[in-house]
Amino acid sequence: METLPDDIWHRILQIGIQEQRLDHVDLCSLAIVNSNFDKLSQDPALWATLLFRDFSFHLSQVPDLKYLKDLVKIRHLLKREFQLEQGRIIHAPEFIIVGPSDNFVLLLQKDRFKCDPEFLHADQSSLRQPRNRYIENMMRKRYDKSSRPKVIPNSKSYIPMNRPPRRSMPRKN
Amino acid sequence: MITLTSSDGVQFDVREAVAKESQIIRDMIQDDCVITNIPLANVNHKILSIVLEYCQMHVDKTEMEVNASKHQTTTGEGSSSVPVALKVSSNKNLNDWDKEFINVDLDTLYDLILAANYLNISGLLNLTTQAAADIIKGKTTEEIRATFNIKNDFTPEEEAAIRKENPWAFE
Repeated sequence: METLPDDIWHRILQIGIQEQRLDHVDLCSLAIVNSNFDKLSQDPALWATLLFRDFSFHLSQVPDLKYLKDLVKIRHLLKREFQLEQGRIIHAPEFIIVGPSDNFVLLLQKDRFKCDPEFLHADQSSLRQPRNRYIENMMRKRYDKSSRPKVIPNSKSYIPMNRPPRRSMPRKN
Repeated sequence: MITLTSSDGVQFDVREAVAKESQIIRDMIQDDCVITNIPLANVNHKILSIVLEYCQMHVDKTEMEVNASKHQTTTGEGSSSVPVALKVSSNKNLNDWDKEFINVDLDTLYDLILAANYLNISGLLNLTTQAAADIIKGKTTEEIRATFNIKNDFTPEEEAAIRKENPWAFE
């Protein structure tokens, strides 16, 4: 069976994922089988399909493999923690909200993720109502100028708020 | 009638509709580059007979459906739920038949995938690749190696490194 051409193996994996036959554990098991399967299972398209299938999470462009794997990993961990069956994700610029009853928030950065502990450990029943308020607060915290980390004047990243507009240099005659 | 000749020289006479289940044969017929005899160099008679059995079944079922719906329109009356129910039941039959059909040993499955790919029969290719995915499903690395008779070409160090990459999958 190993003499099947690679494109057919790829098709088997793709179809298997689409039709809910294979999941991330199978892909990871395949990666260890031998070097050829390792190469096959590292295709970002497969992981993107997996993500789309489980989360209806559509990526406008396929990011790198590590990012995709992390997203699948989050799902895996959440499923164990919360018995997440039909997860739903809302993608916002800086965070991703997951959950069948919209009851937890994930902060996702490029290659690490963290759950907001304050939110996660709150009483489940009290979560539904304040969800929007929580998100509002979080957004406000993030975008509120006063809560931004202070930058030291004269450092490279310091931009004064009321700097006079730049003028062109006077011409020398 | 069209004659298909397998790689080992066995001839199969089939109806044009049956042969046309294969995209590649359909294209050949459309382009008028074929008269009646098509040699298939990559498929032996054992596999070809299985493939043709599949095509025959699917063509028969579709024709039956078309006839049934024609019959329905000519008789005119009758609730619209009847053809739907009929279609559902025949689809269910066909799915059961497919399931039974694909219950073959690994070598045959492997040849069937290659034949479906070569002849470009999308239904059969989907069916066979899904069956292969089902075989992989839920197996550990060692079981996959044993099932497909695959040699492990990693050194123990390499294997441990890859295993370490995705530890969360095996918890």
